[in-house]
Amino acid sequence: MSKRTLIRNVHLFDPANGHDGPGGVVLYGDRIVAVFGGDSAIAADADVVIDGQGATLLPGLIDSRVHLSEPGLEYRETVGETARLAARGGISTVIAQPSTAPAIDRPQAVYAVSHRSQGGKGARMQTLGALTVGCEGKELAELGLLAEAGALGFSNGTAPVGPLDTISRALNYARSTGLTVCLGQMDAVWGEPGVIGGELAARMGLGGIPALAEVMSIERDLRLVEMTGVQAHFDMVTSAEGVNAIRDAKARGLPITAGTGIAYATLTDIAIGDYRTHAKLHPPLRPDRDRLGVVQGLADGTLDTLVSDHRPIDTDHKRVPFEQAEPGMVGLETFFSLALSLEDRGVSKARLISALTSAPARVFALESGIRPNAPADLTLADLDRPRRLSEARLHSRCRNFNYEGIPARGVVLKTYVGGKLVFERA
Amino acid sequence: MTQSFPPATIGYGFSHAHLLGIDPLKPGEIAYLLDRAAYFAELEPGEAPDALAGSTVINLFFENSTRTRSSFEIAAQRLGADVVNMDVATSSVKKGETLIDTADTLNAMRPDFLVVRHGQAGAVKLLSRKLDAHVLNGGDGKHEHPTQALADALTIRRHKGKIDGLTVAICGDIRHSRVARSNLLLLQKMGARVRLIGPPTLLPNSYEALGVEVYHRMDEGLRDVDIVMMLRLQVERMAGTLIPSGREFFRFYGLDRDRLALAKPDALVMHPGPMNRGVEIASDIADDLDQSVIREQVEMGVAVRMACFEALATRRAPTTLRAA
Repeated sequence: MSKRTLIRNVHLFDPANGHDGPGGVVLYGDRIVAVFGGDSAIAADADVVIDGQGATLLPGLIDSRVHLSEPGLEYRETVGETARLAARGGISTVIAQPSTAPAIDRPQAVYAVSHRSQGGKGARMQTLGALTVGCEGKELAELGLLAEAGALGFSNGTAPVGPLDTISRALNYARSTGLTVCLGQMDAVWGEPGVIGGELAARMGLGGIPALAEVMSIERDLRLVEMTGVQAHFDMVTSAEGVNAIRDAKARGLPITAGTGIAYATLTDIAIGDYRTHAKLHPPLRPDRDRLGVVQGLADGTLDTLVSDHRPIDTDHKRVPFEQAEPGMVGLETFFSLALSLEDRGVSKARLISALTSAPARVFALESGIRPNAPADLTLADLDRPRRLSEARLHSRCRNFNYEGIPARGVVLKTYVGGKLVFERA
Repeated sequence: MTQSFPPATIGYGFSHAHLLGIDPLKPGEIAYLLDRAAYFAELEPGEAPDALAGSTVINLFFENSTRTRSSFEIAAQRLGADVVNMDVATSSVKKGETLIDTADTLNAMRPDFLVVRHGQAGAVKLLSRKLDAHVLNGGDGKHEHPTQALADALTIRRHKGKIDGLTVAICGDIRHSRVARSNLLLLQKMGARVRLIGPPTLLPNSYEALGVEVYHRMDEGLRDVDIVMMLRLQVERMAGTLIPSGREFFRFYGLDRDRLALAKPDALVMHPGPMNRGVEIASDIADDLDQSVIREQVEMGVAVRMACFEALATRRAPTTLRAA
């Protein structure tokens, strides 16, 4: 028999449902059954009472771009570990990319993700399906069967969807599933192995990837969205011009959504310094004018979602010459604090929390929010408590981390998934 | 000859553990290396001090090289070092050993100097972090080739008496050239004006951010320059189709008599070698002893490498070097 749990003495914060003030919630089973303002006497009714001591209660965070290492690279991180690290970071739902090895391009692979995450206490593990077989951009994956199996949408991982005929057919077909397709991945044709376009590439003798590679992909994909009517999410917009392209398209009335990775709002190509491979990301880090454009996009709502783009890479694949190094950084545990740091850069708290909760929920049709009958996915956090980000404090096995010694604020105290407490700060 | 160049007063000397590139060097350090190299250049081979006696130098070349490797080898031997050439093509690297493991292995042999050439930018830096030996960059990918730039600078100084105030045109395949990158850094630090000339595919506009003048036409870029520095067209690095053909390249970017006439009458012609005759440079210019200093660049290569070895071996503090 399920127990009634009361979480009281918290500051409810959920812009999508109009909460910003003291209150509490009552959980029963895996659902929220009551939400109240102030500190009422519903307490009497509960089997378990939790005193939030004035901390902030948020809808559980949704990280909609995470790279799994299992199957194929379990030594970096298992799905169970990913789920637990996410919970530690206040994330109640992880949406994984399909570009594992092998790719999530058949229904069994979708089941396998949720199956592998069981047994571990942690975030809900959801996944996108591959748009094309093996994310190779050649043949259509079984989009309908993937959708039936529970894929929340489609993506081609980090690869662009391939030649025009393939992508237009894929988008046309995907429309029949009613799910969202992630688009706008920069075109690999431009992407010499390397870091960035411009001055740094010239100075360091590395191949450049101009921001134009992303902008042209976005503009091309926008036309295809217009043509096919598919529901599209440009999940990794990382350049100022890319943000402008999305802003123009939204102004034209195209029903698209867009997002970016936390690295592109907080880091620039300066982080690459003397060939620091941890700062080798895909898409590459860019100059400060692009970072400012991305932050502006988050502030004005052009960019709806914010993701960690968590990708664990072991030392052996980072401690090599820059061109050989695998791109990516870990991010689940520090995602929330780094996101909050954008409040100092002009993005409102309401916008930030929406980008981590209601916006991804809307894009991928997930139930979310602090309201009766919603799933009891909740994050209790002290938004003002200072912390210093440090590799030494990470629980991740992989240490490809870019924020050593950075002061931040925001500490996750408790994470609930489906009414179950999956993380509690000791 | 050395005495005619008064030492720069700020930072004259050399205090780095490694020679990884021109970028980290201060003008005073470059001047110091050039002064020492000028001194070595005047010595007969047998007269050099045995500054490296008892030291071991390992030449670790991940890319093929004849001239650079021989030049380092001769420079080290003239200073009394024992030199070992690691033939990487047949070593464990081909068997899948990582660069870090190679570094650990070499470290255990306790060399004093390691000269490294590697096909990837930053690889030499990565090795230097893991090694106890002094590391000299013999060329890393498209990044830097510091000793070539020093040899070129010494050659220029011997002929022009200075570098400050000269206008230097670096021509051709800039994009793939670590020589161009090191040279433009060095020449700028020493007060020269640098022009880059090449087709847009081999000379991206992003180079303008480096403080140089970018030209896409030889006839404009060569006008009134003091130095014409040609580069080898690196056909082996051109994965894509960056230029249509060798003959078209020569037609628009090759150095012939007519083009050279646009430069100052006493302009020097330089080339780091190996040359593609008839692709980037006409044979008669390459062989013209009045204008071409290509052979001298090779000779100065040995002298500057001796200076680099010596500077690393002594690692003298900047203040004690005034008298040198």
